[in-house]
Amino acid sequence: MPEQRSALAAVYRPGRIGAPEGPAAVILSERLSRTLVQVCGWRDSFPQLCRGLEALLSCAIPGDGLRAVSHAGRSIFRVGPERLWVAGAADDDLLRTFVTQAPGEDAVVTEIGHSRTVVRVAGAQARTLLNRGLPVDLDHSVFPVDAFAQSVIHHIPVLVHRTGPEGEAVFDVYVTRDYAVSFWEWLTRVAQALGGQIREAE
Amino acid sequence: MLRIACPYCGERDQVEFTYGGDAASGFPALADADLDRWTDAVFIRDNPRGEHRELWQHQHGCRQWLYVVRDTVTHAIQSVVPARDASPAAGADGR
Amino acid sequence: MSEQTGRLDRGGRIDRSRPMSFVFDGRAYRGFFGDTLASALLANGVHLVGRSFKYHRPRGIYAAGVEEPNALVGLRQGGRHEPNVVATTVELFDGLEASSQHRWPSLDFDVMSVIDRFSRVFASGFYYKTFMGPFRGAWMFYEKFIRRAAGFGDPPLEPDPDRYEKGHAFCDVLVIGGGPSGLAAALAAGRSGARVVLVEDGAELGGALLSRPQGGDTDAWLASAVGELKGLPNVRLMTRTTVFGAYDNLVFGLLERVGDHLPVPAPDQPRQRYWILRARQAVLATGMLERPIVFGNNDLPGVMLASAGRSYVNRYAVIPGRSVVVFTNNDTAYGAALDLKAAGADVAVVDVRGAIGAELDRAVREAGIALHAGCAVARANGRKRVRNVEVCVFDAVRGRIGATKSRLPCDLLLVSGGWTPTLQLLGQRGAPLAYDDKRAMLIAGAVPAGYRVAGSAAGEPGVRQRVASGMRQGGAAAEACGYAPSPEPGVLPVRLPDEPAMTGIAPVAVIPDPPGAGYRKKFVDFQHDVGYDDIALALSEGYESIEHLKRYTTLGMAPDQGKTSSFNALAIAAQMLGRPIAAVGTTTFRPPYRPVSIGALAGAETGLHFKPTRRSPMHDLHARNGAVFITTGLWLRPWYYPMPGESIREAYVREADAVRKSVGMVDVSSLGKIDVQGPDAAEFLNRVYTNAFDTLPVGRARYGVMLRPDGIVIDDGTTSRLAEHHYFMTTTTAGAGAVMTFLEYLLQTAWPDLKVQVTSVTSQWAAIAVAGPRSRDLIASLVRDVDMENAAFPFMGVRQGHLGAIPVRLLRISFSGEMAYEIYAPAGCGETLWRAISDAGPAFDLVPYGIEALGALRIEKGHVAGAEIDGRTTLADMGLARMASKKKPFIGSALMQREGLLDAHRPQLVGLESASGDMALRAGAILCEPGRHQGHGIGFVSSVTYSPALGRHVALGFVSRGLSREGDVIDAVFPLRGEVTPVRVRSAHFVDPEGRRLNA
Ligand SMILES: [Zn+2]
Repeated sequence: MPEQRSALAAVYRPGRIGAPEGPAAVILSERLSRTLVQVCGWRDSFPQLCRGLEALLSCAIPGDGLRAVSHAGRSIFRVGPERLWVAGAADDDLLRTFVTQAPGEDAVVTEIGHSRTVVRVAGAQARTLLNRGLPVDLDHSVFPVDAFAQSVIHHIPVLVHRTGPEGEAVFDVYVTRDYAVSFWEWLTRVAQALGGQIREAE
Repeated sequence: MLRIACPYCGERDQVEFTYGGDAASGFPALADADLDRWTDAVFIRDNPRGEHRELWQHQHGCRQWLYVVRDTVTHAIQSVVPARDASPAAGADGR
Repeated sequence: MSEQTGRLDRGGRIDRSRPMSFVFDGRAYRGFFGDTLASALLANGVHLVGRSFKYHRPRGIYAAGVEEPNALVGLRQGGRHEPNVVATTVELFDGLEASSQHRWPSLDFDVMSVIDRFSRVFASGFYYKTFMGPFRGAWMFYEKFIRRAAGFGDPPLEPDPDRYEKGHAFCDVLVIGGGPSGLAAALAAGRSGARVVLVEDGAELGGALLSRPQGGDTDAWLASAVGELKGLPNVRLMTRTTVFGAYDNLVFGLLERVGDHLPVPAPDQPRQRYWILRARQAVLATGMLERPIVFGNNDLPGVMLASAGRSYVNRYAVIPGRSVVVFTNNDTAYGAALDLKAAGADVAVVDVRGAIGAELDRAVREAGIALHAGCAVARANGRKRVRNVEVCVFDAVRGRIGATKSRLPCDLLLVSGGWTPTLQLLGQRGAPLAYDDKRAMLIAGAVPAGYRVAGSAAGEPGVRQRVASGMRQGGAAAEACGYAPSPEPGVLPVRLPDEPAMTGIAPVAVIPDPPGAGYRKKFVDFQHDVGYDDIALALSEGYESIEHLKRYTTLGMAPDQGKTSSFNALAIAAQMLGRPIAAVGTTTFRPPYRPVSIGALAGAETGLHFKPTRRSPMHDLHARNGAVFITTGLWLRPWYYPMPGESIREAYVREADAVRKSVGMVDVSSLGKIDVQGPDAAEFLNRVYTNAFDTLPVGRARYGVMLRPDGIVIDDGTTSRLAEHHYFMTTTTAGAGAVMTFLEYLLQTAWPDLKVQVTSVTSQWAAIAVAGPRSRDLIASLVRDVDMENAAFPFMGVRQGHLGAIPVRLLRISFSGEMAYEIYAPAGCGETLWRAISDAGPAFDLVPYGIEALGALRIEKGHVAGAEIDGRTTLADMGLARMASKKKPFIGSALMQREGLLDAHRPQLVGLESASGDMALRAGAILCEPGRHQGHGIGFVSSVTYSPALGRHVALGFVSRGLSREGDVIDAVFPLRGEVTPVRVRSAHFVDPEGRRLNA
């Protein structure tokens, strides 16, 4: 497949936002070409499917819609009752095989990697920035590492995932692709007041 | 503004949800061609003061439809359950 | 520039090292950092600050805080101008410009003050009775004059240059109010580890303590409490922030004034921030407000609340008068009397009570204050400033007044009629208030779950009691959130002073006119100019319910929401009705507690950010190719691609021509796309579409229509069968969200036993339609792994293959009536896909086209779209009755048999063209029988275009029994423009009705 073009290609400009000097309170970067696969199952056989996935991915499958499981560069989100998202690196070959070869008898697989743009929001004021639009409590006591929430920011559907490391505020925001530019414009505009930096996309 | 405790996602703001109307009437079996029953289910609504059984979708969350029992006077929410667990399998046979 | 004649030489919490200049009504003045606009004006001897709303009476500064009813000013200039700003809450900044309101031509000489002379004519209900009664027509004539005289302030005429933000916040314990009880509550909750937010309206923490003499022992306590709170990482202190609304589930609306105290906000910073805060527990430490006593001319400049007098002297080192009369019905006003005396003023006290406590009595005598006990101030005299007051003997128990005993000269009259706890937020939650006879105040009745009331808001009398109550409630709130109480909840290094409890009060709200002294207006609601007489009039006309009284007199409905007037109105109404206050009840409180600017509520959602925009994966490429965009819903889509110098008409005609003659390509990525998978997928689609999908072979697509349960069409689209249990559904751009939600609704509520998973993949796939007689040749030149021959890949066929290196889904379907393909590729490859096709295009005379041409092509073919599927039309209305399967039930199959939907007279889809010449038609025009233009007509025009294929204007529309009226000429009427165009009814299939071109 040819290279996956970033939805932010035309608007993404690394450099400072807001105050030109001083420490960057927020650090923004795009995580390019993440592999994202949705695996669904049926009520009766879903536990079995999860056991199979646990073996394949060598990690636990999350049991609720509050905490993701991150392991070996992948994050697994239970986005609905019998619905999982598995996010991985661009070259995650195992995940890519799921699309052609379902990881279990009763698995329904849909590739959705192109439908989301992933923006990483980090820095001392990352929470403040996201909460300018996100109606979800991101305090570490209730939203620790690997907590995630599907919600809206500025009327835009998002999934916000607190990634590691422990003790730092780093959030990956999965934004529906066609809204990505609009989201980015909102994010960088609000970030101006806090002062920040846009890093090279990873 | 309501805060609704989604059984899957936890307590969330109303902005993530969309109201889906009265849940009391249910959905007749598809094969049922009786106009009166369908008219009742689609058009006839109670407007109770107090407890109201209604549908909400956690549209910007898990996208699950939920049965919510809400007091129309105080807005206090008494219960929230996934619709798929609570619904009678009305119309399951389809034909 | 005048001297600050009212400024004391020392004291106060102002910073004398930071002088500030400001302008009021064009005159320059000086003040200090720490002043409010009001304190700075008083320091400069300015008492007259505005004219009243209705009678244009001169008004002065009445309070020192948020309750101020009179001192509303216009602040700043140009786009930053803000009317109705409360001068007592405006922090002075250097260069501030303010102007008085409700005066013309000047504050000192106001023409409209003549209304005051006729104030008895302009009593409550005047406008209503005069202009809505039998002489209704008069309103039309008088309105422009009345509009000029009335109204609050002047709105800015330029756009607001500032930015506003929104924020979401969460906490365990919200403490509302930064006075002694609020600080104590935050300490108790904070010490136990709870996440605490303390919100204070003012710039400084301390509340009423700031109005005590500077350097006193409460200051040490305050410094220690604030110091400890600032050191707690789990406590967030928000000053300059108002909790204006209390909503369901402990959700609160807050307004943070980030830059209001600055001339302009700091770079990149917002002026205001609107917070939505969710708490688990809330402690109201909102304090209480002093209320006036109602007497004749009680609105003269120089009449002021006693607590305000005390604030001005102690907090701002401003002496608002040298010769002071304090008029009170309770003990608390003596604090002001003593502090003003200590600051050098002559002070006399008039107390309606016959006697006061011994301790207080001794303090008054020692200070050399004259006490007139058992007396009342019956009226104030003066023109633009009080000059003297008439003191009469008064029986507080019976409310009887004697003749005037003496006139006391004064330049300041301080008034205290008791206190009203600030419980508006509880009221907003619908909590009842209870009347406490002993304290003569409305206190919280039943407190809603999750709420607590502390300090003076709970009617606690002294500072020690208030702090103790704050500690108690703050600790309990934290405990309710699951935090263990801190071991020493009430301990602070600094002890509070022992003070006498000043709790005595005689509940007097109004002083009657002294016998034979003539009429003077007595104001209850200063801001809306509602007087004692207006209440009497309303009651005499039968408006006895407190809610009716409020609306008839407009009392409490001004921007101050009756902060100083509601209680007195209630007490007066109770007295007039001969009922206890508790039986009269209170009016409903609604947000906001203080006015909130629309800018703050909008936050960043203005201009381009008013709503988000959705862009196709090829958007940037279209922009580079010179496309002109148009918004359709949230989507920004290419409208047309003009060549240099081309108009929109020329461009889309050229584009549509190319589709009919060679080949065109259009971005259709905004189509809704839904992945439908599972063993019951076929059964599910059979139920939701009117036609069958279980019979659709793998590798084929089918056009489908969905109905709502009520039998009305909701959407249409094409669904392909990719595998036995895997379908790929497309919907219209506009219908995508609704269809997805509807499918989920059915699967989760009606048929949870069906094994079907639906996933929106709209954003996953870029989509391009390639249409025109040369489309197959073009695609065949690019796709190597799919047999493109007509027989191998027929109309409605679906194939998966590669275009270059890009994996694609190919659907042979057509919206234009030409041979056409839709090509789907992963969104991130969309641009590469477009470019690959476009690069191969020249050999086939390929032209990109936008949605204007797309629309023209589909109208020429009579295909329905959003204008026809408008939520009112049935399958039969659109000529699609054959789409309804007779072999199976489907959603809507029962109710589509409703009598009204089967009516033979229903409008049916037809084509329309002008009957003579080539006239353009208008969408929305009403179709009528020739010459009979009354009523609803017999149909309407839904879609119009100039048809490039026919070289003339055509339209789609709905006409009653339209299918049987082919050839008839009827009128298209557009009353808004007075147009009548005769149109001929014809088949909606203007171009290639046999569909030969699909396979040509
Ligand atoms: Zn949910």
